[in-house]
Amino acid sequence: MLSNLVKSFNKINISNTSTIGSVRTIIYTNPNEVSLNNLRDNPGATKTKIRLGRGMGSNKGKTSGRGHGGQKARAGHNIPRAFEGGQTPLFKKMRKYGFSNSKFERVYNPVNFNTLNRLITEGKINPNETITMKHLFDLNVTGSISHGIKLLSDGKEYFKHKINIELTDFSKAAKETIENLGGTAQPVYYDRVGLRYLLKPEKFDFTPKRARVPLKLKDKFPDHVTGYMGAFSTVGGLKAIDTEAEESN
Amino acid sequence: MISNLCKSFNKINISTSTSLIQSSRIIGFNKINYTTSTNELLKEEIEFPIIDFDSKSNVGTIQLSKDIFSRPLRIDLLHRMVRYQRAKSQQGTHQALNMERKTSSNKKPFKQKGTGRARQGTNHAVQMKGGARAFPPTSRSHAHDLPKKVRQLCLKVALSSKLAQNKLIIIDEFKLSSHKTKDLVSKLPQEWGRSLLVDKDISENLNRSSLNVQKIDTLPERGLNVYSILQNDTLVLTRSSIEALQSRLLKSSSSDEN
Repeated sequence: MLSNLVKSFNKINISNTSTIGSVRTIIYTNPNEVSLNNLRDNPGATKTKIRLGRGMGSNKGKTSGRGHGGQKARAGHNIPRAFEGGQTPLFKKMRKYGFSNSKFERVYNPVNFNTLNRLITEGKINPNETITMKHLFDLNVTGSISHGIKLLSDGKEYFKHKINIELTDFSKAAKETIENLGGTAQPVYYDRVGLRYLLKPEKFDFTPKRARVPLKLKDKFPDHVTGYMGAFSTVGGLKAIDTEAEESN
Repeated sequence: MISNLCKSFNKINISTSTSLIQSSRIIGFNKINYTTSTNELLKEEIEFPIIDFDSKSNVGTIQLSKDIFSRPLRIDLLHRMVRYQRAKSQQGTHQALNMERKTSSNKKPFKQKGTGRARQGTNHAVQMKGGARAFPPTSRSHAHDLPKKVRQLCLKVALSSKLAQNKLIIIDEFKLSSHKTKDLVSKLPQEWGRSLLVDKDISENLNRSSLNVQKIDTLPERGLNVYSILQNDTLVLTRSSIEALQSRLLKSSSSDEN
């Protein structure tokens, strides 16, 4: 019965279908054509899992590849890497030494002229107003910012805009290119709270005081006040400064 | 009897594996050498006739993009896509009770010694009839991932395979005067076989008239998928649906290049 069916299928060929130009008639599915019963993955595309403890014929039957008995054959066995068979291990014999300052490191997220150029030409940044880290953060240029943004000089030869920009740091070449075009590159200091207030002001119920520049970073931010009684520390947050400036004008 | 069956199946398998390659050559799969200047070739277009739904006569032509309708056959991708769709649509509400969740008496069925029977603690342990399962099935999702770009490519491959097998039909529109099943079935020729009717939006008449026919599936354009395409013999598209489809797929492929 089935063999008859097969024969009949084989008789129908693809050549039976008529040409494209005229009225199109179509035959029933023939076993050689692409349909649900012809699908397969590439050979070797999937691996079968080795099943342990499923009889002698499986090659991983009796001891499941764990050898004969003992601690290592049991479930949940774990021997620490530095274990030396009960002898006092090396890391316990030695005293502690050395230290790392990496947790005090100030990490800046890099931004290049390529990105700035693209954002300005696409109209996402207005070159006439001062560009701050808030603008770049809102446009998802960098991810989360921990200490600030540094401008680097990739694509400086194509950058032709005159801009005023305020970031945490600039590379020497980046600062030169901006100033040669007639703009200003102003390094600004924010501590973690101040930076968070700048980027996400909606999360604050109050305006935090703006931090003084630590003495170590004095040379990098010459325009900011340092020291014990810095002007920023008494006046308050950013908003307070802005309103005062407007009133005086 | 069974051995005869096996033999005949073997015959089929051999014939498919060899003749699939041959037929693909005849039909026109893999004719294009995609290693050289792929993008330029894919920008070309194929002229394809549009027929009238009533009279089956030519009404005009439409330009089909080679990016969508002239992809080389990738059986493995189609297989993966069908697996993906089937796994995702699996309901996964299988459940059985383990020892912890089984609520029945915790009483010792008989005393430890002197009965001549094997010792037992409870009546619903794993080895007992009507007892709990050791590692029972729990309700879960069977879905697995497939990259979005691969899924789009799969749809293109499925469409190109229909075109290459001469099983794609583009009609002007579904002109149905009533919701009667008789009206629709009389217009579908015997040769189309089991067919998938795709429109931009499924009208009330088309929906009602096709509901009770086994060999007809209907889909709106945005629901077009690989499994339904392969399930059916013939793919019938309307002019409006294919325009929407092409613009959708070409837009996404152009954004990939950037």
